Amino acid sequence: MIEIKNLHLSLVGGAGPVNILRGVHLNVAGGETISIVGPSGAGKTTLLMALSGLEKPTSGSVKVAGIDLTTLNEDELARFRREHVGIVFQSFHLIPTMTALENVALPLEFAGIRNSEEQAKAALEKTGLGDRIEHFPGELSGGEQQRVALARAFVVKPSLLLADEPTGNLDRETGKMVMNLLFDLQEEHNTTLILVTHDEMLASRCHRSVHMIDGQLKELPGDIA
Amino acid sequence: MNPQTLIQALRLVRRELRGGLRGFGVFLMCLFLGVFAISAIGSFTESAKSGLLADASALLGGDLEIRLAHRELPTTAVDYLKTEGELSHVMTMRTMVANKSGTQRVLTELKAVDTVYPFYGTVGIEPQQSIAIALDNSHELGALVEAPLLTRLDVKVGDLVKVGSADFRIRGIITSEPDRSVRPFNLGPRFMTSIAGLSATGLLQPGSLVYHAYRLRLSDRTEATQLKTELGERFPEAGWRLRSWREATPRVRFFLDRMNQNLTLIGLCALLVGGLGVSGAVRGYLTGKITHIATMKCLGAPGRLIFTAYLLQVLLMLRL
Repeated sequence: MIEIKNLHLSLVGGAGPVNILRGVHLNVAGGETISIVGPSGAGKTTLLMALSGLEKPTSGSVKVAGIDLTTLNEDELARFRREHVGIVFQSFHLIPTMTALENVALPLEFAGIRNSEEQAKAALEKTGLGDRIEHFPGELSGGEQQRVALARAFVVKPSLLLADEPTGNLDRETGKMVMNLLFDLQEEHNTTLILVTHDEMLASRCHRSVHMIDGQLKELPGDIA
Repeated sequence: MNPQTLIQALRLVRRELRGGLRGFGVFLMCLFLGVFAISAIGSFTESAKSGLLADASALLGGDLEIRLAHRELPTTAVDYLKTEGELSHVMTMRTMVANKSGTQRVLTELKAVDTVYPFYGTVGIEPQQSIAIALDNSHELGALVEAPLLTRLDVKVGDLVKVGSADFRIRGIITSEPDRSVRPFNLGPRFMTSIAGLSATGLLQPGSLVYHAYRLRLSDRTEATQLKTELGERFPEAGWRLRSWREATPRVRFFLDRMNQNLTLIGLCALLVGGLGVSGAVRGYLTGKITHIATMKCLGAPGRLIFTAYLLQVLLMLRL
């Protein structure tokens, strides 16, 4: 499902180029769940951005679902994200001027799917928010917002789900509930999951964990699965 | 553009604009002030000018005015003017007016008028009476004054006041004077009497600072400009100042033109600030939407859809 070879990614800042990813190698099978742990600034989020085609690698190759992202232009990358990738953020990133239903329907509308609202409604019902579809994000709790974000990520039935510290802004109980939901949905859709987290308990729920240190991945011993 | 993209963009615009016009307040205010200032001052100036033109003859006191300082028109010129239309003679000077006992004295703007004054408009008098009756000299000299003169001399209507060597009975208070143009200040209140009354004061001496205004009322006032030219040619050495009704209140018109220019400049500045505000407001608005744009890109929104949606939002707000 994912094949990353010798991935380098540098970003140019005010003080000059910063080498964030320094030769990342990673292979992930379809339906596999992987957690990426590591200190802040190690490059975890940047790796997710490279996997979603939001950041272009400086060198190396990134293949997802057999597609070499380094060869795609912006429009092709947008289509790739629509068809293959769901993303869940730490800060939810729901659009505040849209209702829960509209937020979830958004990726379906981008994909030109006609009955987007029905599908979005079904996705929200699956996350237990069938009675909150007309609520705006500001009217929802943090846990509810993250459940809307999960519904939005899974509604297009992506082959790859990228989750960037999805419980980082939630209390322990709510975080546990959201993660249960995330893993349920992942299992139901057999989605490949890349989960960035600082929570070791959460990381241990994945098939395997990798450690990101100074822009490089190191496999942690003892796969969970 | 793909119609599907446009429909999607419009849908996004509708949802995004639920957030209101935050950030566009300064821009809209500048735009409003600029357009308002320019249009308001333009229409005000034009209204004022057309109003002045409509009342020009009244403000000038005739269709054509001939002004002379310290001397009267020669008889030949007066005779000629009388062949062109009705002629009125007004004299003005500054002099002191005293109460009967001579204990209070006030500087006034004295105006002596003939029996046909005024050609246009009416002199407002309190208590109401005609100017001919008010200034009648058959028994005693009469005068009309502005209210401040009564206060300063501590006299009232019906009392006697002294100007030069003549006594005048105050017959009324002047409440309005049609040919008194707008001036920033006056040296004293008006004291109006007849020409005979002024003559009786003994103030008309050689070298007296008296100003003479001869006003002509023409059968067709549009001929005033042509007559002005003819008079200049016929009496090249006259040393007078001629003004037609079209040139009445030149200072007011000059003031209006200057005000128009300055306020239009202010309006343009406001528009300029509004123009600068456009970029600031658009930048500020888009900065506030960066997270939304990034989120939509993550969800697979095509670049042209995002561009179209936000371009439409900006255009829509500019149209408001």
